[in-house]
Amino acid sequence: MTLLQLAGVHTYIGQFHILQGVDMQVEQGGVTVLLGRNGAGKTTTLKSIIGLLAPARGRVTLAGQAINGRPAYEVAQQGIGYVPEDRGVFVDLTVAENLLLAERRKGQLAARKAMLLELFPDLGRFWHQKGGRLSGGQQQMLAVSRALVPENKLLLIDEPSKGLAPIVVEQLAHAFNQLKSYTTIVLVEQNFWLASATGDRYYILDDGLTVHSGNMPDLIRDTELQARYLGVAAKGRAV
Amino acid sequence: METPHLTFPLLVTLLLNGVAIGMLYFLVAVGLSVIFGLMHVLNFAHGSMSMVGAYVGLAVFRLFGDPATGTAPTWAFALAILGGAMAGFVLGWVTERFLIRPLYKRPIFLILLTLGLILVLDETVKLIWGTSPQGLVIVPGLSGTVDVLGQPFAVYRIFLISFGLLMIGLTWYVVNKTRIGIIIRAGVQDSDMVQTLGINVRQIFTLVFAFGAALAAMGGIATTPFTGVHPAMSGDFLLKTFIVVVIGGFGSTTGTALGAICLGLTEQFLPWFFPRFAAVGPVVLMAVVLLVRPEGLFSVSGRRAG
Repeated sequence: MTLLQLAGVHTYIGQFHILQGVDMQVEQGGVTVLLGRNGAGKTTTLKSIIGLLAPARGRVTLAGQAINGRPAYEVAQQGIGYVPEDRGVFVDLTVAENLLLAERRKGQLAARKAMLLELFPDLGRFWHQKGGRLSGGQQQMLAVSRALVPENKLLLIDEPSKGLAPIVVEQLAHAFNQLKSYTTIVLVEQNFWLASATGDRYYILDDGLTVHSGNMPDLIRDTELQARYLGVAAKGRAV
Repeated sequence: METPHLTFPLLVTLLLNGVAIGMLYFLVAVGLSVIFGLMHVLNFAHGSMSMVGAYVGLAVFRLFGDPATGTAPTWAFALAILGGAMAGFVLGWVTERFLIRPLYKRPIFLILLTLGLILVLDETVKLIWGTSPQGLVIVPGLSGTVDVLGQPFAVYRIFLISFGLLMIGLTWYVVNKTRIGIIIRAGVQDSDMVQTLGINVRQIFTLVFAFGAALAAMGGIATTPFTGVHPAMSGDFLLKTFIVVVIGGFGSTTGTALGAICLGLTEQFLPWFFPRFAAVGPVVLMAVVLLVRPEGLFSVSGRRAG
């Protein structure tokens, strides 16, 4: 079943025409990876889905319902969690407060706490610490956990591996693979190792257009495609 | 010039006076501070909202007062504060919802709007209540003095300190211990991120703007027994609130409280030691803070609401 669909999405940032017709179809369950070089429009795509940027043209639908042009809080309430590139952790709030903020119903955090701590056991140790005191990896775990507090149908995760140590990237890969049974993930990732270790399907963006899509195992085998659009050759772990 | 002899009882009186005046400044300034921290809106009409609150409060007070003597029962003053606060709340709500909201993406227009609002509110007040200063007699329950270390100290100032501390406590509780406070503190850092968590930040903006204006209006009516009510008071309020917020740090309620007390104490002690600099002292203090620590003396990490 199609959960998320983007059809001919055009988005401007100021006068710059960033997305020039993005098409994407995300099936329920699993991880769909959005790949492409810097400036290809991956982050803009996620922002156009969550409502932080309003597409000028095209259609974004979630479970068949149009969500484009609606304010971000309404889109989020439809069941989308967003983890931005800079993690969006509130540095003056404690870990618990960061998580509480994501509750859409009272008691959601309490109900999810065991699952979150199983996924990221470290969070328990920092529960009452301010977000600003956490390391980059801990902040990323908090950001992903926060998106999991409400029962979101879809998580949009933007470059979670950025600036993180390889061991933390491995933990994230493990967590994303576990999360496949809870929710659907759209993952923007430049780290090809993380993308290939977690992805089921992929889309490649180039200059604001969808240029390729398919199943992740096919892309892992296709080194020519990788070199053409991603500038990588997946030899071993490119963490 | 010979420095007057500062006795310990006098020092305590000056300290208490400074704190009492600081409480007034806190009430007026806290809204401006949080509104800027959360919405990045510099509301130049904030002082005028205080003034409107003072006029409405005075009108409520007079409803229950004796026109011949100008006095009224103590409860009439409580109703005046409540009436002024309600007027401030409604004014703040309408201003944010209908005037400021359409202009969030045009900050220069917002500055022009709030500057224009000063003229509109000041002229409206003159049309309704005239240009002459009007006074409010301190109610029986809050009049008179008490003895503090042999020095007389006004009961009204004790009321101001108590009321101010109560408001600081309530503001602190709301900001630090409630869900809405968590949203405000998060919104000060990144309101877009708060929206992506499914929270309608615009509603919070309206509420904060309205409560900020209500607190400013309370400050306006509470000042009335000292200064009376007059159209020029909006300008006085505006300057003082900017000094307080610059000292304390925009977006910080704790910083605003400390900045307000700092200004109150400066205004009490400066005339005592350096009378020639009494008028310019607070402005110089603001300029020095802007040069040395532009994020405010009491700000821990730039913009914050805690």
